[in-house]
Amino acid sequence: MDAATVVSTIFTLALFSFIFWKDNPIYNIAEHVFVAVGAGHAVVASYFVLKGSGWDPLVKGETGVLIPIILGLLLFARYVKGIAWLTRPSVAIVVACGAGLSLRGSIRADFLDQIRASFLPLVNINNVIFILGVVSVIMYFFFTNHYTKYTRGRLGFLTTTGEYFMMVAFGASFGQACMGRLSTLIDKISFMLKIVLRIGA
Amino acid sequence: MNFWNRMQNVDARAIYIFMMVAIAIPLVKPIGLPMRIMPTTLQVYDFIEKLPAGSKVYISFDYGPGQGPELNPMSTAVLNHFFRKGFKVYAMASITEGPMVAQQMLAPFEKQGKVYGKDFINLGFFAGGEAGLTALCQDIRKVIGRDFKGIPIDQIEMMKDVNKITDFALGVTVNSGPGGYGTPEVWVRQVPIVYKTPFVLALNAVMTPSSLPFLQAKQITGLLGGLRAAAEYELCLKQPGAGAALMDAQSAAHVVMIVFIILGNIAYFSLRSKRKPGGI
Repeated sequence: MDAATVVSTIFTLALFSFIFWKDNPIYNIAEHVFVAVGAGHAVVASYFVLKGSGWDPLVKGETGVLIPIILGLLLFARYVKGIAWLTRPSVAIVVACGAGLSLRGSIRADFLDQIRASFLPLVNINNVIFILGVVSVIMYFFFTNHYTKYTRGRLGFLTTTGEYFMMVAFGASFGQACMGRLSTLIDKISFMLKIVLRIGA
Repeated sequence: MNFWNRMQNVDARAIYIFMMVAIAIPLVKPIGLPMRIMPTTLQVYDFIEKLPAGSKVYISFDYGPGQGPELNPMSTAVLNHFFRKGFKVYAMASITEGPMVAQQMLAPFEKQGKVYGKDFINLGFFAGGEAGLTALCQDIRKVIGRDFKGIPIDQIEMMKDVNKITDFALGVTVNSGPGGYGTPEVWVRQVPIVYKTPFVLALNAVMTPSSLPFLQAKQITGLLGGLRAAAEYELCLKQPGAGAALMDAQSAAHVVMIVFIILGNIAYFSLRSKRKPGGI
């Protein structure tokens, strides 16, 4: 058994200990090591990104990178009382760029194309269920008084149908979440059986 | 305390033990349950199958080792198809752990004779989330100067005619969703929507239902969801691997879960009917 397998086995057992002994020191050590390794790796990766996209071009004479470097450094001004306001231009640029870039694609991705794709011909049972789902769920989300007298009144059955559609959707999501977590458990049990204990390998 | 009372207050540890035993049995002695290939998986397979040999494809490993058990079989299956077709594979990542995962996934193919820099390359981590991805789509060199090994990308043969995202025949993100910067939504709205390039989402199971509208609206070329899709893809390739091997255990675990849900519900309703004269 190589060193990586030994370390992996110890940490797997340490994490499984939570099942039988709740929060215990062995579990806590494994949890802290996991977080620390992740944080350490992120710091190293960020260092190389800063070096590659900031420092290296600057040394080569690309002075244009000074602007984002200065804006980035200004973010740390929030830790100094009196000059904390200097953070604002950097934050404003980050937020504005983020909003602008995401809007560029999301108008089509999240709205126009989705609306277009919802107009299906009622030629088969799938499309009928789909349209019923879309209409009833939208009706559930009418909250203004003017409309709720209908959606909670005479058309209340549609609103209730919308609730059921949402429950089914949440159930599907939850089921998929369980499936994902089970995959992780299966992988660890498979590792313990086949790699560590050499059963069924 | 009768049986149904016990079922209402079953010790969680008992459920864990049942679950572990149910998973272990098919792992030791595989059952080989039949599996149907879903149209969504077949759609991805067919598209890749039709691409000509030598096509340039990129695959972004947007997940960490924690999601590996679910997504590694999918990465392996897709990479297997890529290399079998003789594509040039460009790996990258929008999260810091991604490049390590890419190295781990590509290593077996290197052992099989694929050459780094000629058949595949690991471009490493690109920072900046959505802004970084946008810049990468326009000019890869603006965002990535060196590959994962520290070699300037201009010195790598595979990078000669590769400058922007439209130079690729297909893109894939193997993605674990929130937690990374390049979530499936970010990829969809910045790549296939803006550049109209073929794009596949390969996601963990929990992300799949929320991403299905992208497929239904024909915004993406295809969608692979969870371990099951990995197993199906292996069947498409006629090369059962890790995904297919784990599906028996997955099914057994589901049976245990369903049995406990049914027993819990029977217990709940039977006790309720005893409390309320006249029944449910």
